[in-house]
Amino acid sequence: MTGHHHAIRCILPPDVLERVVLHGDEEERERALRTLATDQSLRSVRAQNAILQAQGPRRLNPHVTEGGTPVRTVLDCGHTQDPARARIVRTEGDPATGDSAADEAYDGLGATYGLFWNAYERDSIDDNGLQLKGYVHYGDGYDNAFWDGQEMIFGDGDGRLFNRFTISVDVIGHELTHGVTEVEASLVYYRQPGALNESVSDVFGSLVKQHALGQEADEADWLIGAGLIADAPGQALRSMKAPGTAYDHPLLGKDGQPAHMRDYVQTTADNGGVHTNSGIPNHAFYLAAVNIGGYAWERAGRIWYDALRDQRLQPTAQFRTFARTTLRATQRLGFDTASTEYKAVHEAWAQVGLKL
Amino acid sequence: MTGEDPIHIDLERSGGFAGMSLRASVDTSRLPPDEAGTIAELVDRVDFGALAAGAGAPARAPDRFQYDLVVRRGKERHALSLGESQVTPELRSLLDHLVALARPR
Repeated sequence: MTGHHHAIRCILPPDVLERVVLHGDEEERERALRTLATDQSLRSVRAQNAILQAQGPRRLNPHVTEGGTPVRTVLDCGHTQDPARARIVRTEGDPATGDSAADEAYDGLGATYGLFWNAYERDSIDDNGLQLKGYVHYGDGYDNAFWDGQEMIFGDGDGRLFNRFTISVDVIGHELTHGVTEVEASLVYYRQPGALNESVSDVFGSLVKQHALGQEADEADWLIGAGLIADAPGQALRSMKAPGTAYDHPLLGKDGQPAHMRDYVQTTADNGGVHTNSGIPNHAFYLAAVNIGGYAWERAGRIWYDALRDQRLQPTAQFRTFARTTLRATQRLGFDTASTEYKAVHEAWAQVGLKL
Repeated sequence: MTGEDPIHIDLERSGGFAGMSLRASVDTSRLPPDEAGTIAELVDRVDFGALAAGAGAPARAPDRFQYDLVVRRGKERHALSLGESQVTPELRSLLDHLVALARPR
């Protein structure tokens, strides 16, 4: 599969396309699905997925891809902030380039694809084989990484306070998961829904790392961005196991994440504190995962994944609503209220101050 | 430069993947003349009117920085709250300069 989907930019509205999905012949359905998949309207992708789920078989476009393998491209921005002029340095199947940032991005994209495919049968961010693009060497000493709506962008860090942002596979998983969240729940990036959005990225970012290392919940370190702070071994940006303890640095200050609703931070900075208050749902996931036991992506992660895809979850969902959604997902997966799994999820939210 | 009002700038850059806040405060009357001159030049190149008119609420995009900036000079006052994606090239030059000042040596 080369480049973007060869989608026909229809002027047909999403609901007409959906009818073609349901009633058209094989070729018509394929084209309609591809158009729906690349449609910028997030609602149409959710609706498409809902239709597919209701229908049964998940793959109605076998000619495009079977699913199961990523299609990766890594591009080098050459220290500019202009991705449009970036150079392709590695495409799917190419050998390592020797440039750490490029190779870490390539491997991290693969590890993220691998978690979503192996654990949840999700074929890339859009569940339709979307090409994974990572841009490295963005900017000059740029202390950040982000998802821009279609691809991941990584800075090199300034070298004194921060290392390169590809250094930690959970960062890559975190960024890609923003794409998944955008397609599924579209959680608004502000205040509580924004903190949920952030938390979901930390959850699956951590699961990417755990899955790659084959770690069970009690073996994982539950740290996000370990190794990102320069010359600070053992420190990380966030801890899901112990929010507020990840870093304590003479220049960067101290980790300010809360682990409980009573310490929720009201602020106008950081889009209403989305990277701070994510500590609360992060900790809930950690508690659920360790109390359920085993590999965290199998049950706890599946519950969270299904909650994210629940059609009733609104973009403006508060913590409490999401918590209820995870309980509903637990039951829909077949774990009744007497099960270890249900009790673990229920208790996890209670422990962070959300008694349901 | 003499006779011109000093420029006061307060910047907070928050968010980003690390979710940390960086603050910078500048009073050009307390800087060496060439430093003060550089800042004045950078400020002069920014079209604050256009930025204020163009931005409704700040853009809120995953893991991008949020900039809260107040620039005062004499009777002029500009207050902006912007997402990283809304930053123009001229504003970015000013912001990068301020961030570098805020960074410990």
